[in-house]
This record gives sequence, structure tokens and C-alpha cells, in this order.
Amino acid sequence: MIKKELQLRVNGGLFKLEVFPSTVLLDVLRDELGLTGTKRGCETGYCGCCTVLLGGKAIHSCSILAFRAKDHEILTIEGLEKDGKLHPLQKAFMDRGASQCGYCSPGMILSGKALLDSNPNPSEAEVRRALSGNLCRCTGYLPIIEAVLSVAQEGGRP
Amino acid sequence: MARFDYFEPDHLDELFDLLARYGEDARVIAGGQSLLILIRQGLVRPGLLISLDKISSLRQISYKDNEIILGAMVTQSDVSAADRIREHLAVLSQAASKVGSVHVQNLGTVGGNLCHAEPNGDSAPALLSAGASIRASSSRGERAIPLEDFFRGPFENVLEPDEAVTYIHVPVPGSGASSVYLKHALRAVDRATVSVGLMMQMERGGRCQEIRIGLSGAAPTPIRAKKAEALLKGEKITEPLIEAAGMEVSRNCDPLSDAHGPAEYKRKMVGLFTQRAIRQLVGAYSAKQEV
Amino acid sequence: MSNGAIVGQSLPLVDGVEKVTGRGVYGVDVRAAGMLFARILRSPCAHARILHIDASAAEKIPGVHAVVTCNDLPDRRVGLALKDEYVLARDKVRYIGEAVAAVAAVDLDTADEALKAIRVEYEELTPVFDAREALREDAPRIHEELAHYQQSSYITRFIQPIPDSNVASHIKLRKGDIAAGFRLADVVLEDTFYCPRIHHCYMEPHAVLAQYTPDKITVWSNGQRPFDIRTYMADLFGLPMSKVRVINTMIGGGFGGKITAKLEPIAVALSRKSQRPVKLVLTRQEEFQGFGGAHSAWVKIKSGATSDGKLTAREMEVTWDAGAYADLGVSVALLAGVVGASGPYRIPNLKLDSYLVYTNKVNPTALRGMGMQQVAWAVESQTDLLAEKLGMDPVEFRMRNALEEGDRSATGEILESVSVRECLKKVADAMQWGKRPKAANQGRAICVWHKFSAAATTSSAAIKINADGSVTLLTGSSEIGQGSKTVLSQIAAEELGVSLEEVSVISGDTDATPFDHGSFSSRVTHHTGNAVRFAALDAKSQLLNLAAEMMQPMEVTAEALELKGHRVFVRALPETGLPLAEVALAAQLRGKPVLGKGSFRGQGSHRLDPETGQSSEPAASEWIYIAQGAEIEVDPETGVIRVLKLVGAYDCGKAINPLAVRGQILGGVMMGVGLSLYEEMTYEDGQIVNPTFMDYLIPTAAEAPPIEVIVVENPHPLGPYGAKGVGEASIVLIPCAIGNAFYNATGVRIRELPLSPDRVLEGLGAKGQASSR
Repeated sequence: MIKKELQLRVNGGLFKLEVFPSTVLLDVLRDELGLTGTKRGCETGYCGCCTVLLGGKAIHSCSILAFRAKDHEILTIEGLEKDGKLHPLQKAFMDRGASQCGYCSPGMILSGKALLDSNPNPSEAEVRRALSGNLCRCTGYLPIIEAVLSVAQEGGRP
Repeated sequence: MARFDYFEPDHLDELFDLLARYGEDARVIAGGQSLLILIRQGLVRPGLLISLDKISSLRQISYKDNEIILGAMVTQSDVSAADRIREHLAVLSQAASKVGSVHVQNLGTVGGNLCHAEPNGDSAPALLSAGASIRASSSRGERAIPLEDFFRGPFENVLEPDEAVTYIHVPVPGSGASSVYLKHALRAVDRATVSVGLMMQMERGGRCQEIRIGLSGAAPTPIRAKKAEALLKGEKITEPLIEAAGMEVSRNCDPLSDAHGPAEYKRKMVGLFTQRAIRQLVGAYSAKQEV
Repeated sequence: MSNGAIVGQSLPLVDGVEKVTGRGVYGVDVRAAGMLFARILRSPCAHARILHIDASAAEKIPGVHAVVTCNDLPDRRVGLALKDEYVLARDKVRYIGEAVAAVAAVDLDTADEALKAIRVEYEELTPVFDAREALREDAPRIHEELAHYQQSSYITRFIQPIPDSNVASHIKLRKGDIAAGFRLADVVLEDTFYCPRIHHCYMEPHAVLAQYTPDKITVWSNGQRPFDIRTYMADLFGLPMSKVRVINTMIGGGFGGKITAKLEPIAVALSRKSQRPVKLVLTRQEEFQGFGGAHSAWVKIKSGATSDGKLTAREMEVTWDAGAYADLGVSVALLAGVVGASGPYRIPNLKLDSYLVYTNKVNPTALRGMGMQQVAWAVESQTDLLAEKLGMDPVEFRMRNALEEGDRSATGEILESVSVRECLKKVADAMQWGKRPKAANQGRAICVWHKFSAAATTSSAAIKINADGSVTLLTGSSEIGQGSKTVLSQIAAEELGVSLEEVSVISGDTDATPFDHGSFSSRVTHHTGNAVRFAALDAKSQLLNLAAEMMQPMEVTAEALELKGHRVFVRALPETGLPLAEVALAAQLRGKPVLGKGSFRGQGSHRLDPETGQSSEPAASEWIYIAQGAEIEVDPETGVIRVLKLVGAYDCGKAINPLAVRGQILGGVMMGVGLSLYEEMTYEDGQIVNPTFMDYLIPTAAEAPPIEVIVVENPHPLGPYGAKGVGEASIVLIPCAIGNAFYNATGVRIRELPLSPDRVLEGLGAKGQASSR
């Protein structure tokens, strides 16, 4: 197997890489681009710690080949801040205790963003469903649900 | 993860050519939500993956007069967002929104879900109740496979190594038809313990004109509950008949025990949820009649 | 105690930004130049002699830099309590998944290839998988040398192995006259309950980066007791502790599952052999295969009560499945199996036996709750059965028998800061107990319990006041997501009159931070909090003494001075004084930079009289009280239990940070919901059947029920601001509260967990209650 050239659009930047075709996006983000904010927590596509946005949609980056992801806009947690200013979801997570160990937080925040971008006024049930692909063992989920709903209610999206 | 090569043909002929050449060592990848996990667990070791992602015709949902055609790359999210599918094929729309998580729905395809051939998936029972068929294509030509003939065993379908599913043909139901998908699962993101896809055509007087019941979790593959259908077709739907249909379903199933439930529990549930589905559609029909 | 400016306030975690931006560097993220990647070869046999290991083919694979086996480590057993295990199996393997060898290579693919090339010859032995079977006289002996095992001296232990058996520890308690106690009773009930094994499921896997040189070992680890890890490795690699440095990375959850140092010594051994840094990260599957979660337990319980509702006697026999190694099972068997087993009740006659039994499965370890949920599942279920038999309201029955301030515990400890009744009443009021009608298929219950925090553990801390008055806090405790850095910073900021933003924390570094036993047993707020407070008071005293000097010719003593709002001033004359920064700088210029130190040792001892289980000392450093209510609805056709509401009262002594306290409680509640309804590590012939998140089911956001949290602040005389702990309390009563609510709804008593729909339906069917329309 040989590495092949791949161009990825990540957080508004364009990156030229040489990668094995069988590499999943998660590994490219972490190992080639040093974007370690996206995490691995399992091998079976359930934990959601690897969540990124692909064309604005929440996906598990462990379950997509890096080559498949070319030609799409990829957003990782590192791309959420704008000029040092936290996204309202990031701020809400901090203010409402939605982040304890923080390992699930990047994935949770991006899943929340994808929801609010397409559904600015979700019901609590919709928030729960949108987040059910992100496991958390620390917070019991309620502060996370509250954080997402609070941002929806404040209409706060950049 | 073991290494493999990755090809992205951008038209069907190229796909068929690759399959003809590499079929035995290759796997077709659609959304990858099942396949990549199998590869990572070492259960499947292809030398190369052939992606459907760049073939634009496979991403379309086509609406014809008498059928809706889903390209193999149509995602579960595409389906649940499609208003016309929600209108005519509620069973399919509901099933798509119940697959795993939103993340899985965004990449996972209906075609891929069917090819994965799991005993307790969501797309299959829904499409079985809709009377769908698969278009399997290769360099040798095309064949139509009724969905109920598509599954050979758990995680095994009837495709030849050089074939790929290109389209799923779903008849547009008659104007009086209604459908529903009921899923019984432990958590919202889980595979079904059991699930039921039901489509019924009722007529005046509460008689069942047409009925199709698709089941998940009832057998090593998704199945049609034909004996139960036969009990109901042409009959006026009464409560005793619904119970009889449920019992018939339970009697005729052969579920597998797994992390989501023991076989005996699934046997009971498959009958129960068939009854609940029928009651729901009959109830909605009666409510409409009273208006 | 009223709230200060900072202590008692709900403040965001001080390390929140790193978490929400993804900037934090966790164990899985650390890297070093030239690092190799490690994989572990795990035993496919549950019980076997190792006849031969041949790694020669693996070593020859290009890109493989080291292969280690037991021969690369001293022939010395290790263990947190009982030294019964080897880092890499020597002579024998005792569970499927046990580490037999390890490889360090240029990448993981090469390491995986090398694993396949290692040849191990096993001679299989008869395994035993069930703890009750392992108790039989004719059961295969898993640890033939049990009688000769030593105990670690790191923390005082109380371990009572039974030689020539599979019992790693048998703890017993005899109080009063049990036979007489049952004779006095009008109602006697006997039951057996079972609680399965669950896994911690921290989201971040175990991760270690090890760097060995002959005169220094450095390990970056996401373990929650770095000083433990240091002790292990200093001993194994023959270096003084000062030459072994363990540094915590950010930690993605622990819950007790990141205490045992199974991996660090392997990574160090690989680094030593390859002369390169070595990174070892477990896959999720390995987390389930190589780390055993919590102890499953059979609990036999017999209780007697008089017709006016007074408990007279309780006899219990708890059989804990220790898996292949005792690990912290010794503390589980002692503290949950005996010390707290009989519940927060006055019972004059007790006969308690707790057996920690070896089986051929991976060993469990500490898991949030430390055995209490297994025991409470049995005891509190039977409590409702007793109440029913007596015709008494279950809350009233508990009230009537509840421990009170000054009562003696089962081991003879005089209890302080007791709040059993208060917690019970708060929950009953919140649920309007007895006042609301109940719909069909709905049920309610309230349970009550107590949670120990380990006795006799030590924390120490240091505080530097920098020249600008900002504060650097050094603590050996680990931030595992529970908010310890924040709570400790709040205490320091409060005492030193600075804002929270000016405090920075270095934690969990065995070179740079003072000794701390670590983050476990709900101990950090109470123990490390005290150490930090004393360190702050020490620094404060230095500052005030210097300030008094600086304020001359004004005649003031340090006692008259106050430190608040970045200023030092005479208490009675707040408009006088000096900026704190000025005093801090002066200290530095005068050659005495302010450095405060503090330490605290929790009270008590785990040593009990081996025959009676009595002790003249407290058996816990403090007790946390819990009451938990549950309201459920069951679908009698599917067996699905829907939790309508959970409301609990948790006595943490003092909530230093109410937001963080609530967060900890919610997390524990959801772990309890998982145990109650979804989770079980299932085995077939010693092989775990569900080692993935696909088949091991932890609740998602869609499954979280409405949860009401009532924080009770019943100050403990020894805690900082009265604080006890709270990290584990909320998991303990969820299963029995849900189980009792289910019984209340249906009259069906299920004695095993989880209350999965098929189990519930079977229970309803047996009672003739399953709907078969």
C-alpha cells in the first residue's frame, strides 16, 4: 500500500497531505494535522467523541475515510472559536457545568451546533435525540441538554 | 485497521468494471457506517473498497408516478427530510429517523443498511412492508430482486461479488394506504430488539384490502409475515383478528438471542408490536372515516 | 456556615476553557519525539500454566524495537493491597485477556503484526467462573500461594485471606446475639439478591507515555493515583522514588477505574528495553477485557423486626466475585461487605460475613460507590418487603430505625454529622409522599443509605504566593473531571483574599506536588481541601506577620490583620493597610518568598477485630448520607420501565461549589440508571461477550430521566467549611429505588439486575401480570 495525495478543507484552511487510502478522517485530523481536540473513545461508532461537522452535518470521524471527506468543509472543535471569542455553546457548556472531564465536550458541542444551525428552536426531545450519538459518563446529560437549550433560547449563534 | 486501497468511480460503468475485475477482493462502500466498523474489528478484510460516493445518479431520490426510486447512496437523513416520502411512505420516513444516531443517519445509506443484512436493522422491515425491490447491477447487466429474496442469512445478502445495489424501487402506495414503523429498542440508538414495518390499504367498512408486514428481530434475516398477512387480507379488521395476527407472527418467527434480548422475549414482542402497528393504522383510518 | 465570596459559589470550572476548546492535553494526546507505539499480548486462556514464551520471531520484524515478557521484570508480585499479581503473567494466566507480553514498534500496525508472531505455549487448567462455585472445597485453586502473599504497606489494609481456598479475604462482624435477635423478631425475612458486574466506561481510554533512562523514569499517565504508580515503579525498577516521576495529563474520567497501575510498568519496561519513549493506549475492547469494572455480588440477607417496626437482627453473607486478582476488592469486601453493609440503621444484633472470592475472569476494582450499590440493592429491597410485612409505610419504617447523631455504627464508631432522617424527610416532602394518587402501572419508592470515605488517607499541599500576589497551588491529587482543581482553588482564593482567576493549580505530579493519596473514595474535597486550607492559612500567617512588620510604626499584630480583596488591613480599620502584592513582593525581596504548606490525615482505621469486626476507631474518615426517591411507570406488555422522576437528597457537608456538586450527583445518578436498566458485563466461559459500546449499553441523552437534586449541608466537624464528599453517593440507591418503585407498581419483586424488559416481563408473567391481550 502506498500513500496518496489528499487535500482536506478543515476549519477554513486547505491542507495538502499524503495519507494511506484506508486512513479514517479521525486519524488524519489528530495525527497529520495535530488537531487533537477530536477524540477517540471506541472502535464501533457509538461514543461520538470523534464528532466533527462535515458540510455542517454531525458525523463520526472514525467512521469515514479521510479520502471520502475531501471536497467537504470540515469543522473540528478547534475551528469553533472566532478571533479568540468562544462560541455561545462553548460558553454555555462552561457556565452550566456541562463539561466535567471534558472528553466528550468537543463532540457534544459540535453535535449541538449542527442541531441549532438547522433547527434554531429545538424541543428538549429533539436536543436529546441529536445528542444521543455522543456518550457522556460524567455529567448525566442534563447540564448538557440545558446548555444547548439555553443557547437556542438566547438565539445566540454567530 | 488493516490497509486497503480505495477507488471512487464517478460513473456506473467504471464501478461495474472495477467490480468485474476485483469483485472477490473488493467491497462496495456506501456510507461506511457498518462496513468500516466490520473492517476495524477484523471481521472483514477487503483488499480494496469501491465507493459509490462520486456517482451522482446514486444520490438521487426520483419520484415517478408509480414508484419512488432511491439511489443506493441516499442517506437515512435524506429520506427522513424528504417531505414526499413522509407523505406517501411514512413507514420509510419513520424508519430512517430511527436508525442509530443522527451521526449515523447523516452518512449511513438505505442501500448500505440493506446490504449489511443485519437481522435487526430498520430499513429492511420498512421497505418490506412497502413491497420494495432491489436493482442489482453489474457489467453483466441488471436484475430486480424482490427485497424479501435479498437476504440469505444474518449479514449475508444474495449479491454476486461483481454486483452492486444501484437503486431501490419502492411502489407508490394507493391513495388509501397508510403505513407505520414501530421500533422496540433498549436505547434510542440501538438496533431494534424487534421492529415492525406495516402498510395497509383499508376500504369502506373497515375491510383490509392490502397488507404487508415487514419484521426485524424475528428471524435470522428481516422477513415478511406472510401467514399473518393472509389472516388479515380481505377481512374486516376486528380486535380478535388483530390478536390472532399477533399470535401468528409470534408462532412463525425464529429470533436470535443477543445483547438486545433473548429469543423468547423477541418472539413475544414481535407479535405485540405487530398488533400495536395494526391497531394504530386501523385507529387512524377509523378516525379519518368519522371526520 | 454561610457562604464566603468564593467558597459556596457556583463557579465554572477553572479548566473549562481547555475542555470546551479541545486544547486540553489528555493521556491519549501526549506525544514525545521518537516515541514508539505499544500493544499488549493477552491470554486466550482463562486458567493455564505458561509453559513457554518465544518472542524471537516478533523481535525480528522490521520496526519492532522491543518485546517484553515477565522475564524483563523482577520476579516480584505487585498489588494495591494484596500482592497477588505480576505485571506480565509469570508461570500462570488466570483470566482471558491477562497481559502476557508487550511490544513496542514504530506504529500500531507493526505492533499488531508482532503480537501475532509471539508464540506462547499454555497448559490449560480447569477454570472456575462463578464465585459461589469457587467457594466449594473441590474448586480449582486459582492462587495456590495465597497463604504466602504479602500485603502492600502503602495504605493500611485489613485483609483476611483463607489459606488453601479461593477466598482472598473474609471479613466478619459479630455484634450482640444474632439468634436471640431473631427470636425477638415478630417478622423474619430471608432473601438472596444478585448484582452483576458493570464497567466504568470513562470516555477516555487508559493512556501512558513512558520514558526510561537508567537514572530517571518519567511517566505521563491518566491514572488517578499518581503516587501509587510511583511506588509501584520505584519498587519494580529499583529506583528511589525521587527518580521516578509520574505526571498526570488531563484525565477523561476515572470513576475508580484508573487507579490500578497495570499499564505503566509495561510501558516503562518497553521503554527500558527499546531505549525510546513508549506510548500505550488501550482500545475500548481492551478496556472491557483488561479491566474488570465493579464486583458482582450475591447478597444473602436475613432480617428480623418487631411488630412495632424495630429491627432486631440482621444477618448477611456477601459473596464478591474478585476475578483473578484481589486489587481493591479487599476494600470493597471490607467497607461495603461489612462496615456499611447493614445500612444506616440501628440494629443491635448483627452477623455479617463478606467473602472476596477469586474466579478466572479479569479482576474488578474500585468503581464509584465501592460496593455499596450492590449491598444496598439487597438491603433496601428487603427493607420495603419488611415494611410491607409489618403493614408500615416504608418511609416510616426507615425513620423508625434510622441512625442518629452520636449513635454507634456497626463497627462501634460514634457517628458524627448524621443526617439520615433529614435526607429521608427532604425526599419524602419533595415527592409529596403519601399525598398524591398513583396511576395504574406506576410506582414510587424511597430508599436511604450511607457512604464511607476511606479512613486514614493523607493529603498535603503547598501554596506559593507570587510576587504580584497571585497564587500557585501545588496538589498531588488528580483532576479526573470531578472539579478538584476548581474546588481547591476556591478554598485557596477564599482564605487568601484573591479572586479565583488569580489561582493556578499544578496537580498530580509526583516531583512537583506534595504527596496525596489521590482521587478516590470521595476524599478530595475533605482531605485535600483541608490540606489546601491549612497551606493557605500557613501562607496567610507568613503574609500577615510580614505585613505587621511593614505597617510599623503602626503597632499591629498579625492577629489584628485581615486578608481580603487583595489587601491586608487592620480588621477594625479597613481603610488602612497594604496591597497584598506589595507584601508578597516584599517577602521575596527580603529573602523569604511566601510558601505555605498544609496536610491532613483522615481519621480512622480500616483495621477491625478479626472476629467481631469491632474497632475503637472510626472505620471511615467521614460518612455521607443519601436518600433517593424514584417514580416509575412500567409497560406491562413490554416490560419496559420508564423512569418518571428521580429525586434525591445528598448530604455533602458543605457544597464548596454547588454547580460542581450537582454535576457530580447527576453523573452518579445516570451511572445508577445504567446499572438499574441497561448495563451488565456478560461472560461465556470466561470470555466477555459484550466488549463494545454497541453491546454494552450505557444510557445516552435520550434515556436521561428528570432528576431533582437536593443538596443537604450537614457540616462535618473535621471538613473544610464542614465539607465531606459527594462524588460517589448518588449511584448507590438508584437500583433499589427503581426496584422498589417497580414492586410498588406491580407487587413483583425482582432480585437481579439489570431490570431489563425481558427480565421484567418474565417477572410479571410469573405473577400472572404480564398482559397477553
